[in-house]
Amino acid sequence: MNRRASAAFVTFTLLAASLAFAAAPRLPGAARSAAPNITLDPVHSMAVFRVQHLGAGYFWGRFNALEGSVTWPLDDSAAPEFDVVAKVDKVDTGSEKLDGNLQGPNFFNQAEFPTIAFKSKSAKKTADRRYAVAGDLTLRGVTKSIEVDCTVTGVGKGPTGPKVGFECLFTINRADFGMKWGIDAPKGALGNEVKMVIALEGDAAQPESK
Amino acid sequence: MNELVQYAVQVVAVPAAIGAAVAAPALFGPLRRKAAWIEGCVASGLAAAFVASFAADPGWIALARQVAAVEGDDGAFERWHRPALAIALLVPAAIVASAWRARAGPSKGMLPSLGFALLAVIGCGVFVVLPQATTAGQFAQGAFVLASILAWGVAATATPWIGWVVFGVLAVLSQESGFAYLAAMSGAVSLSAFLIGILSAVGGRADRDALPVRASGALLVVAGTMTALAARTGMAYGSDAVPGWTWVAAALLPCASLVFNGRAARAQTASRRSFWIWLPVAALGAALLAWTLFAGQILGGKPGGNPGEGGKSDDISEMYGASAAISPQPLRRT
Repeated sequence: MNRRASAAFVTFTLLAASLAFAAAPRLPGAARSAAPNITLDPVHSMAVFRVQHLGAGYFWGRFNALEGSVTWPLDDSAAPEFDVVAKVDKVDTGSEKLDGNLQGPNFFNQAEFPTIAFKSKSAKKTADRRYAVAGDLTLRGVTKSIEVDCTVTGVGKGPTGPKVGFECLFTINRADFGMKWGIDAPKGALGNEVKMVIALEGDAAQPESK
Repeated sequence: MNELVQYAVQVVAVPAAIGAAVAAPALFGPLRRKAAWIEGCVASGLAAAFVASFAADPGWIALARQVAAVEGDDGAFERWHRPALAIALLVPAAIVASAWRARAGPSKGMLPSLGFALLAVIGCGVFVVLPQATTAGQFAQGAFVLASILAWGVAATATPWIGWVVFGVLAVLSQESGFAYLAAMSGAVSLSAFLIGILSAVGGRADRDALPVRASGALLVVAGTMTALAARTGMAYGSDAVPGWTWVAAALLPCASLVFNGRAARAQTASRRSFWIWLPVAALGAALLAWTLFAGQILGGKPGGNPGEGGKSDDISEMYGASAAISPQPLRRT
């Protein structure tokens, strides 16, 4: 009788604990931990920038081989979180001389600030698979909050698992980050406003369940 | 006025004129007979030209940021501003060292100069810390400053003209390596040295007892320190378009002044009339030195470059859009 009573007690306790756990409100972190971590594929991730030259045409350049990660559930049940780094030595304008100029102290100062980083802090859903992501952009040693318009461009099948693509757009004033050469002196050589298009692609991996 | 010309006036011509104005009091009148004051004012003038160019762009605030936090300034601390601060300190230091030297008299005149040189070498080794610095590198930097000071000793009475050539070369190297700020500052010093050379020749003709502008004392220390710091900064921040050895060679260029020492001395005194003969010789010498340096640079730094990549004149034009030189390969810096 005692043995039966003990078994019933243990069964009841376990059942109650399971029900309590299932009914407990989920924290935001709990949802994120279930989201797959997407490791960026540097070959297919790049940042393209556009700046006006001499008040005339738009000049385009890009940063190749972006690195970092994105956390986002493939069912779009939560907003993505970005942690992306661009290396200044990967700037590519199609002209070696111009790349050297951009890496120098007049612009990105690669010797002192070799990376440009973006880390998201919050996000607001604006449409299906589209978010206004707020985060910190660190460029040339200056960190500023910016808002980025991010769209999930697609989820595809790769040889090792799902591939996820994002496109993010934002605009900055480069003078805000201490990059002032060519705005007022020499006046109008290069524009202040820089439009950025970030193309990201990464491999999604489900976190191991514990 | 064209914006580029306006910029050149702002960061090169005006600072050069300021430098010449600082030096001018010792190039005319009674001070022209006092060696210590000539050295002090000319040294101060050259350093002032560099600092005035820095103050024009990127601005005083960048210099102030090196010393203390500035209210409302959210710009980043950048190490390459430190050499400019060191050169700013040389402006008053040169005058103080010269005044001390003038007061000490001929028998003890070496002491202030030696003390100034020692301070400059140690200060640059300890205080000017550029990226990827190591302890051994800082010792080497101090030694580089000392070597540059010694090299300037050879310049003797050709100092203003050698200053014109050396800083002109540094300006072009800076532009080649994508460091436009340093190009402007070096250009300002080069032009200032040229103006000082002209003023010293004119002032020397007006007074029979005028002394020539000679690289000794404070002038030796300031010229040597400025050259070494400019070259070292270019080496640390410039792109691979200019190999490291070129900067060292440029800093040691004053040794080449042995070629025109005698003529320069004669050009600065009233008793000779060689100034107008010497000027084209100096210009030719400068062009020759610069050409040798760039030829070496191109041969050493650009093996097998593609057409349009290794050109020595396409960087400014590319920045301003006049060139169609396109490289199919992105730059790979290490």
